[in-house]
Amino acid sequence: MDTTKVKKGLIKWSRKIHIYLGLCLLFFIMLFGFSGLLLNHHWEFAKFWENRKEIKYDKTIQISVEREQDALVHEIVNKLDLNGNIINPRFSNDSILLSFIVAKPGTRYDIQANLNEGEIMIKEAKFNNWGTMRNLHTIRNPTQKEQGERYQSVLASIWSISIDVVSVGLIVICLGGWYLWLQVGRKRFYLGLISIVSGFVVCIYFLLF
Amino acid sequence: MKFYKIFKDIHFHTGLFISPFILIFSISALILNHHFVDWQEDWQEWYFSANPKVDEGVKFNFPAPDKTDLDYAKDILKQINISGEIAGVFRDSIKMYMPVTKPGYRISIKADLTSGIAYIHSEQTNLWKKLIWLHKMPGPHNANIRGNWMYTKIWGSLVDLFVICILFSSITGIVLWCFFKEERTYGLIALFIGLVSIVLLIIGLKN
Repeated sequence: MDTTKVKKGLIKWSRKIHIYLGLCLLFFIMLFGFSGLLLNHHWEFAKFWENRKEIKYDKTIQISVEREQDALVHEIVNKLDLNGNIINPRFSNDSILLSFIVAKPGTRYDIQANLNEGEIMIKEAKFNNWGTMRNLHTIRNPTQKEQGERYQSVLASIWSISIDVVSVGLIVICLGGWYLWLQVGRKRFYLGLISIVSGFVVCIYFLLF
Repeated sequence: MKFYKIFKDIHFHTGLFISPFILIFSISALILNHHFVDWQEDWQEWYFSANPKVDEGVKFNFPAPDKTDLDYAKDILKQINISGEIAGVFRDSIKMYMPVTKPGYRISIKADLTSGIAYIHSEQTNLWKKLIWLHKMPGPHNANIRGNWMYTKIWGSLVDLFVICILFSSITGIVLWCFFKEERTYGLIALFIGLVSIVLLIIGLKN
């Protein structure tokens, strides 16, 4: 096979993938980049916890006599018609009270259920858009150690997949970019070498420090 | 055309410079999102001084008492020749506990404020945990003391620079795309797919 043809094809497709993937992931990259800045700084304008709107209310529901934690938590969440990730379910020592958190970007519900009476105390906190952005940055799948302590909603799982897609996509964009850089003329190649080496030196220094 | 060349050069150099950072953040994001690597530390044991292990005891001179807890802890760390980000300071009249962290290590330091001896226990972590350390630092927690180590401060500034570069690289990338007539249609479709996906997902997650 003609190697020049193959090379030309590789350059063409690397360029296309670099462009289309970059455009497709653009808004995700911007969101994760900007929310990363928010997480690393404590800017006054972006405070979310202090500016939350909190309301408390009670509800009474029929709770089954079942005392298995997972089933109970899901039953209560369904009956209250809440969506979100379930975090940290805990029984009180006498197993009468069950408390847990239901969280989704922009909202958090602290739930305390009296299993005998069926009375549910709900503390609902609504966050501003900065808080929502921070939440979106930190959604992830529960780890093995968190099994039984965190339950991911279906949409949060899809969001976690999108984090994977963005991560893998960025790696592919990088690799494609490197390949395209290797194809440029000698002068541009050496100038590019300075840029990439300086990036690597900094990262390796911090990694091996 | 001159305009195009300037944007091309900016995109080319910023892209190459940030590419290693992209690898660090992308790989660590994948690790954080999955459990193919055991990245989650039993941090509570370390953070709240529940681990009784001691590797060595090192003598130190008492710092000036009028110092803040953080400065007091920094002074002791300097004397016992340990560097790292102080994750917390727990001090009473007879003892002081400082959990210290740095890429690849987490260190427990229990300073006896009556005898002037600091008991040190150091644990080495793996490469994956180093990557996660870099991903999460400086981060949103313990805002009042976070960034107390020069290394964390510099890394924090580099992360800011990385984000600015990636945003800049994205913008220059869009400008360059506008110059390629043959890529416009499919590019617009790609951009639209990305926009619709993120908007639908955020609406779904919020409601």
